[in-house]
Amino acid sequence: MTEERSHLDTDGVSDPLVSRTYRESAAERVPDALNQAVLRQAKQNASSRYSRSVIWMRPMAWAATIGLCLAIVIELANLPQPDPAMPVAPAVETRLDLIDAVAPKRSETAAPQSFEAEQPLEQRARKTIDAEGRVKLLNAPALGKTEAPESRPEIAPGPAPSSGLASDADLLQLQDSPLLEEAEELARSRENKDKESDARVLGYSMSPTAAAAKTPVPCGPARRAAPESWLECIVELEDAGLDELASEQRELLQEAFPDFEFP
Amino acid sequence: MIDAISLSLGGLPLSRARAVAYAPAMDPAPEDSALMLRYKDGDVAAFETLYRRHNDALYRYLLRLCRHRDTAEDIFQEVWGKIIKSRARYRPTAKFTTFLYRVAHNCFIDHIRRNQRHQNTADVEPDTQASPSDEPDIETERGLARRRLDLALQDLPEEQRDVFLLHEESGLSLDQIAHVTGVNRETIKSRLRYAVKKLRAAISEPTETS
Repeated sequence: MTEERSHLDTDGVSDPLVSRTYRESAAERVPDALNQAVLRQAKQNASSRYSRSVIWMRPMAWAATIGLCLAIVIELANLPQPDPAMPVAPAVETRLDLIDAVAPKRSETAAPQSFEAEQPLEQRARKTIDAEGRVKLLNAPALGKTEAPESRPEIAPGPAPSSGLASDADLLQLQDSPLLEEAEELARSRENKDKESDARVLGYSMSPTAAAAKTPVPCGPARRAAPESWLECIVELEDAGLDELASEQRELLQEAFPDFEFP
Repeated sequence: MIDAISLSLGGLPLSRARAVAYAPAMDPAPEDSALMLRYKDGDVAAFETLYRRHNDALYRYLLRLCRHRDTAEDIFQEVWGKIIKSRARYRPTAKFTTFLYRVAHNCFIDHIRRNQRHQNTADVEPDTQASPSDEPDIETERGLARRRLDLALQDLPEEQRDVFLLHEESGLSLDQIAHVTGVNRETIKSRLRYAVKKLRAAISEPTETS
């Protein structure tokens, strides 16, 4: 039957007698040594396949991950850093931001510090203005004890740096005004007391002018005592380019002295 | 199928029985492919099963094709080495036997190209052992027939010998042999017809001529 099927499969070409005679003749077997060699080769390759994949894939994956991380770090390091000496134009959240932008960020005599290292101090010395237009320091525990009475202005002018918002003439006017002299004295006294604690916290010393630069330049109660002096302060603010603050002070002046006639 | 079982029970090796049996029900291709896929996944035992199934037939094919034992053993090892190395790329799109003998055929062709001094002399002595059940007279007659067939097989042109051996040892159909050798089916059929005709004539020769 098989031979008949063999005939059919080969279109009748094969011969049963030839096939049978050949099969009787061909009885060779593979030598054992050859069998062992092939099976040994198969075993070695089967075991090495997975080890090879592990050897290649895992370090490749790690190298790719590390390379990607390094590329990201390098890319971030190459990004332009904000210049500490160049105040960024504020989004005008408060009037104090404008004041901070005009006021010098640090003095030229200050020890070299990184922008990041100075950030906490600036954050501690965040300021606000109360309803009467007076400046208060927020989140400043070191300054709490030496907080000046409300009757005193908290103005801290400093040497005029190269500011992008105020012109040199404006800053010169601010420096010459008695308002700045008053604020400078206040800042100096405060700085002397706070210097030690700040140095302890931040690990570096800070010049008095740099600390004074943190305070703004509003119209103090002494100048608001009389409408004329208050108006002078407003004019100074307008000259300094602080129009928003000046207009607010002008409104306060009108509320405080409704009978006063503006020139 | 029944013949295949009876052959294997009659003392013949199973690979030989399979080479004779062409019934689709006995087609081991899916099983061979499954074994190869298992070996692809690292199962060495599957490869050993596959190897034991085909090693003797492939060895005989190469032995009679090359007619030199050392060359046949070298090519045999080369073929299985290629099978082992190509397991990662193996796809069960075709019968494993076709794949195996195609590799063997190509290795043999490469060997001939590498060794242009391919000798025509054979060093393979035919196996003249008779089966134990043969009667003495029949044994002598069959023994002579086997010897004549072996001599005639060695004298066959290489292409005809290749086709005949593929047909006998691998159990492939004409189409599959055509796929293995890269020749069209009609050419394979023609070569096989000529080979069988010559071998039949050699077997049927009068006793006195030998």
